[in-house]
Amino acid sequence: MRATDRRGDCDDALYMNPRSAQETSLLARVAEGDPSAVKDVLSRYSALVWSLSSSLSKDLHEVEDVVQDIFVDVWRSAARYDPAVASEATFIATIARRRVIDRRRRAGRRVDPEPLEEELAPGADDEGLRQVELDDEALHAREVVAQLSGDRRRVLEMSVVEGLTHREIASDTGIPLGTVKSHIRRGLAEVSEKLKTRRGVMEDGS
Amino acid sequence: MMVGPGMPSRDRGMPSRDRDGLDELEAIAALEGFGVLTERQRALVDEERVRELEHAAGALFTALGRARVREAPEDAQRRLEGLLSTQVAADGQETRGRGSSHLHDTLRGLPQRGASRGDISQRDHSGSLSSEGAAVASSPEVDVAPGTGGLRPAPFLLGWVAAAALLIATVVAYGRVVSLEQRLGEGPADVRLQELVATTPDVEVLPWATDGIGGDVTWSNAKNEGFLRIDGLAVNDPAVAQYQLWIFRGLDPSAEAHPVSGGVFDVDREGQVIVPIDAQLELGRAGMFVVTVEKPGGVMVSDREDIVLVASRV
Repeated sequence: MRATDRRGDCDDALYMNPRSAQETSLLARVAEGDPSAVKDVLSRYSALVWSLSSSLSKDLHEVEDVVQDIFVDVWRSAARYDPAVASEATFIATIARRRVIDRRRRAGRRVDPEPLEEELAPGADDEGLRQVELDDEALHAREVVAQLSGDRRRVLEMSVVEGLTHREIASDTGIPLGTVKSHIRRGLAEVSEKLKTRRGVMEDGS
Repeated sequence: MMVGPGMPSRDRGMPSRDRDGLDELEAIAALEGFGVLTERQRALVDEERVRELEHAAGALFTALGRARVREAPEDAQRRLEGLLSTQVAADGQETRGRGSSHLHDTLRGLPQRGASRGDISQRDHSGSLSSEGAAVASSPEVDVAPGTGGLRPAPFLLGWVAAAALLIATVVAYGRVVSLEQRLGEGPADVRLQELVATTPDVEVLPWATDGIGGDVTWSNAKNEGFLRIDGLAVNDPAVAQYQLWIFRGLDPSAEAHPVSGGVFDVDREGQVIVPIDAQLELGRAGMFVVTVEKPGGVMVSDREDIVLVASRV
């Protein structure tokens, strides 16, 4: 894990660190079977994957299981990584999302909504707990979501983060199924367009 | 899951429903396991568009999924590094040896519940199964990459193979052999089973969900101990093949690539046998017990091709 300073609690502390050249070469090394890529990948992404997976359960064994599955998937899928489509962090997060949602769904489990409790819990100031470091694409995604209305944002979160089906979301929120789909569709499309625009800018500048 | 090649060219603006009633959201849902696409739907889906939207979801998952990061515990990090290093080495050998991926093998899901009694005797081995059978398991042996015996690692992998060997030494428990003779020396297994049941509040009894097999798994999460009672499994010749127990923490074997080995054992007679479970790692909570047939000494990673017993919480 790349050492980072503790970054306070405000959202502005979230920042990006473009590493596109390094990122591309890292997954390419994985795809080539470079043994030295193991340490480098884990150094860069294990905390990201662990944190994304830790929403699954309080059982560390279960979290560890899914983290192992995710990284094995990363190894297996690395050859399919296309830097023109997504950053490396997004590629790995996409794999993590599939695995976490699949596990949650199979267990019939919902996300445990207790972020405030976690913030206030003893040990919240542990060195191992710090603000997440978002890569450039995640920050752009976040900007898009910040501009969405409350309903749209909530629906998108329930779908993307919690992995609920469209029907479950409609049932939970009382929003018509068609509107739920529309919110998700538009939200994802806007994020996708923003990421594509960003990649276009980066390519023009390179 | 691939969404399908040969997709038609489509508008890359806002997603739209195609003529077969499928949109990209449903394709993403299918990727997540929420549904299955028909062949026709797969042919109609714009795979590239689906991938873009799924990556958008991945970026959102990072942005919204967790406001704070907790570092992976050091021991978990070490295990992960060891696992991947072993996989890289094994995968390199497999790729060079027979052109298939060991990663793929270890990710293979649980095949259909399989063989009932007698199947082990039909394995393609030279040895014959004796009704008298041996009761003593063979010496410990760990197989990092089943099916790769005799292959030499590529020179650039030698260092990692050595590292993998160190890992194997530390996690030999995964393939450790249970010596029934030694364990029976600690007292009859049936007596110890009764003691466990009588003295352990959280003990659970899970019957085998396999036709023709009687018995059950008795397990205590608190003590990380348990016993198998098996009635009806074929007698095995330990020089040919042995049974190996695998313990899953969850209920979905296909989602758990690395179950904990519960030890290797033999069935030495007709009728009921009681086998102590040799779980060398703390499981926290066991969800499923699966017995496979493996080569003598057991393996570190089972290909799960020969499953003879399953017991589950569900």
